[in-house]
Amino acid sequence: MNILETPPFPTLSDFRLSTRQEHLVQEITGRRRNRRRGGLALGGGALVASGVTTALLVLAVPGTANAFEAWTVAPTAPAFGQVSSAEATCETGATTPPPDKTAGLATGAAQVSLVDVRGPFTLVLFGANSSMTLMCANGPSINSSTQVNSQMSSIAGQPALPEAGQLAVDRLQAESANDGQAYTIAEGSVGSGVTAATLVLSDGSDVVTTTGNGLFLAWWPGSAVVTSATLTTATGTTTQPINSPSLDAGGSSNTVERSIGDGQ
Amino acid sequence: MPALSEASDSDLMAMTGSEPEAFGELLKRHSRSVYAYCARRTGNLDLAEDLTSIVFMEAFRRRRKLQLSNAIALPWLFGVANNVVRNADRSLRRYRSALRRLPIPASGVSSEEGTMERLGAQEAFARALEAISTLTQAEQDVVVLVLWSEFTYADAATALGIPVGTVRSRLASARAKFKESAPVISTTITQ
Repeated sequence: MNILETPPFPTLSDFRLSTRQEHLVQEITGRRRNRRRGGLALGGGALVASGVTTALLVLAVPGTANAFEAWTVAPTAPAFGQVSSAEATCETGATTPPPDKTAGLATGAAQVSLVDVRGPFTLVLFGANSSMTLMCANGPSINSSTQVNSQMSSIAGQPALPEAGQLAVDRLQAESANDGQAYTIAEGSVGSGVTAATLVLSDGSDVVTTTGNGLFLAWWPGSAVVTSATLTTATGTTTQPINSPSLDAGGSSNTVERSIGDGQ
Repeated sequence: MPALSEASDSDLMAMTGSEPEAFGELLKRHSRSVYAYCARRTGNLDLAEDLTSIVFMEAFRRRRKLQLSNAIALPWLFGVANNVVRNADRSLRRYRSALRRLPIPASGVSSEEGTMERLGAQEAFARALEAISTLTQAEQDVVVLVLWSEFTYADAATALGIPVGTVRSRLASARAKFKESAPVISTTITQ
């Protein structure tokens, strides 16, 4: 064969083509029905081991009058392509380390565990094993990024595995947007039977969490901590007092940092 | 508003933000060509399927930066495909989560005959890739677009983001190298 001899034109069968097309449209619209290989099936226990190194990637929205104007108390349906785009951005950030840092943060850690969408903001929790998790917050009109290493907090030094019908806040992460406005990310686990969870904050406000795979995610503007949780199960609604962990300090805006520690 | 099947590629791209069907129409129009390009560049049909998906996800991600010179998206899509194929490992890693969500193909879809066809095609691709392996990457890009995909010089230039003159010179260079390395065959070509 020479360079002027055109190789055969490969064709996809109609079935394979339509499968791909349907999948792609689902991906960019955020409508996901079919999943394989257990991509979202991480157990909550894998994410709450003490001493776990957690890397938090934050891609903040640019400074505006109110960076969180579009934030919503309850999770919303993702906009067209929002989650796929956020995941891709997060994985790129995770696998392209700053010059002075070591690569490998996302190796083996890129399975999506839970996604929390509030208006244009997307919070993605990746977690592949018990030694590393990756969380990424993504907003519109990104013009800066912050990567912060944080330590996975465990209550009283022990992994916080909630009992059935209960909730455990494993980590509260304090962050700030480009304009300096503070916000807080909460991550944790829910026990079996919990179908919905709303966090009650120290300022008296409520935030509805995203739950799934034994996990929950939520975030809110400000620095309020969690005081209790309203939990919904098949038998009704209960209120559980929460001994909230202290806020982990996050990174400042307009900086890019990543370090992979040992949980100390 | 025209029916989607009658809308131009640029109109469809503009609509993708609000109408999933518009993106589906773009896929319908161009996915076979993109798939063929990926297959010829990689020599691997299964990999080419995943890369094709990535090309369209990347295209969607970059849609706001798109400026179609002639309302046809294919050259631009091939440009995206060129980058995706060149950085296949990184592309696959980047979209790993999305690819994991692909439905498992129904059993019995691939017949033995189909499997043999795929194997035969892959062998042909391997021979083709071997034939151009002595060229530089830039020369290979032009050969695949102009000679194998029958792009015009202008469309190849659009796809690669280079001047038309550079497309011509790279193609000339590729042909010259091929003459040097395979004089007998090239004599046949030029006759």
